[in-house]
Amino acid sequence: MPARGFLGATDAAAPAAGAGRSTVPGNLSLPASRTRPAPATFAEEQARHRAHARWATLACLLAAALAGLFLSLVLLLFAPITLGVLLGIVGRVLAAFELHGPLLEAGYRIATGPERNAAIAAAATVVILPVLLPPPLAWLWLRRLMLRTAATPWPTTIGVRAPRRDAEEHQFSNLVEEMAIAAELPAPLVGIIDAAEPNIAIFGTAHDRAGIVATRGALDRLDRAETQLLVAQAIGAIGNGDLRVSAALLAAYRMIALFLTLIASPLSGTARRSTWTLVRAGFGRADAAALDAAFAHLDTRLTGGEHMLRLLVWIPLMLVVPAVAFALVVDNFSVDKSNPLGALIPALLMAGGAAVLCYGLLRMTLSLWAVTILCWPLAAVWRARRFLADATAVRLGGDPDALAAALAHLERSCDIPEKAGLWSHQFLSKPRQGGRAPNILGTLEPAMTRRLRRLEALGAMPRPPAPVQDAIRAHPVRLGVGALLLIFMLSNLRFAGFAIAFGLGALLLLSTGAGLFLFLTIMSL
Amino acid sequence: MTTAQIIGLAALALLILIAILLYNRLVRLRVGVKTAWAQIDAQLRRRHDLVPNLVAAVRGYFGHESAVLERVAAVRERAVNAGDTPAQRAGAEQALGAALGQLIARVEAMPELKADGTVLALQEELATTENRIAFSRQHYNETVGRYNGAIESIPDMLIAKPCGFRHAQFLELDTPTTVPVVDLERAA
Repeated sequence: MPARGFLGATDAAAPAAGAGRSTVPGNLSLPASRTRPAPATFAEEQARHRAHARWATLACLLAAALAGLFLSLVLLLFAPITLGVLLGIVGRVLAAFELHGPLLEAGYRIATGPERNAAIAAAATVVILPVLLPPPLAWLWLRRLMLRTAATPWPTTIGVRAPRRDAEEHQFSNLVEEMAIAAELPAPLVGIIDAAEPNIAIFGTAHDRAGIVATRGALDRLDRAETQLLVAQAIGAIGNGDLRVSAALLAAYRMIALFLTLIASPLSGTARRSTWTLVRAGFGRADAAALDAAFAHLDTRLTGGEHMLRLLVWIPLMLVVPAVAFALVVDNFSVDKSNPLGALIPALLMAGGAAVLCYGLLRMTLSLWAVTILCWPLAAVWRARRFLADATAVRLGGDPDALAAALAHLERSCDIPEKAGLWSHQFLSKPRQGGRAPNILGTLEPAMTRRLRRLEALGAMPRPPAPVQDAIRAHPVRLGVGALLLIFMLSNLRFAGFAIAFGLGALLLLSTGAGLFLFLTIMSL
Repeated sequence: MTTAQIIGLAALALLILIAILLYNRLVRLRVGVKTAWAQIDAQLRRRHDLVPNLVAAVRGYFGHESAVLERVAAVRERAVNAGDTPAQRAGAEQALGAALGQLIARVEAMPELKADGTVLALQEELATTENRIAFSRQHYNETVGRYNGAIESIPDMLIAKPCGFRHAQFLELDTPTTVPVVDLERAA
């Protein structure tokens, strides 16, 4: 039997089958003015938190709609610019080979002749079909990519192993089976991570293909009752459909990361390899390890400090290159109407400048959007779901006090295993302060005070969260300038709002200005 | 055919369709009850299989009190041969549960037994089996409640009687009035 943890040295060793504690742990004191929350049943708590989760989901949908609207607007402005430049170039080339005359005559003949309707229908099909067909195909491909079915529900980059024939791990498997029977779900696969910090996570995309993973620290430091309630929380989360929610969360972020990787492909070898692996995976032809490595690369595009730093490099590029191109064109190239091909070079220079501008804008906008607009409603949904999982755990396991003890214990000395990356939200607990670079998904963990208070309403003993006494393992802090900017914006929402409005306005202005400018320049050449 | 005939035929077809749907629903619920019973049966048999192992592991330590172990084995035999329906099994399983509880209490009181790895592993297995029995029983009773409720409600009642759907029995493992008192101190 494992030794009991640090909390509650005054408690006697708890009996094996999960009886509740009857004394407040002696080494924690409560302020006298504290009022107990109104008692509630777990059914009421579940209904309440389900309603909260629904409201948060609505906010998510609204943020997603806004983001989609904005991106469509940007692309709407971007497309005519590109089209105008392309048509201008094509026209110049045709004129250089004396082809524009016969082509125009042929066009005039068709437009006024009897084959007009057929020609219009053919032109419409040729133009519209290639535009209409790719989006549903792309959606199918992306869906297959995001809902990949691998041999194990967890990614291979985290370092999960099968449980050994060990007393602790066998007990953990037993607990998972018990709670699965209680929840009337098929038992999830069990995995263990060899890490000292106590934590439990759920993985998978559906409740019948789920996996539950615990760290060795969780098994060693928590006793049977506490582990049972944590397992109940995890299985309750699986039963409530949190796997689908987390898959949607990750898919939303990975979509943006995918765009960013696609955009960065011309410049970065790893980005190209990742994109190629993901393309193959969408058709079912990539092996799990390569796919997980590609996803890990995607995740670093959103969380790594170096990437944010490199984004800032684009700002001077975006200002300097178009200006240089414009200056070159205006000063050195006189417009010579007799030689149409001679106007090609300034047109290409202008196009290059505009491309750099739009490229940089798109990259920065996507990153900023991911961080500031999409971040908080998704985090709000996940937080509401954590409360729902707590209430479901009490319903399944029956002892709110054990859950409160386990959570308080977890908060004292918890951490996410090293390689979790963007999967870290699926772990039960995460340090609210510490030496890691901040996670892009924001505060995914509800405040422990509130969680303990809701558990108190369900019948746990009053218990304040233990202060974080242990030194949380200091990780090498990889904060670049870009990440510092990110932290500042995330911590100061008003500034973020102002920055967004400013960024939006600047972007629209720049796009419109660039489009008009290019249009006029090409027309006049 | 006249309009009335067509309407009559359509109504008849609709009634037949509804009857089929109701029958399928009752069949689904009955299969659910059978599945839940199979699940709790598996857990009860798992407990039956654990008892000889536990008895063998603690036999050496019990010495002169080995009569206690014989009585536990006798209760287990009665549970194994109790039959297949919930009513037959309930009494015997309750007795076995009570006997095991008393045996475990004695085991916990012996300090030399608590250090034995085999006994600890068996205790853990027993604890998890008890929990699984509790949860499966809850699930089984809920399923039986749904099935019985469906049989007794109005539209399904008309289908249930002619098609042979009988009430299912609840499994009550913790009503103290019906448990036969098993005292390990005295002869059975």
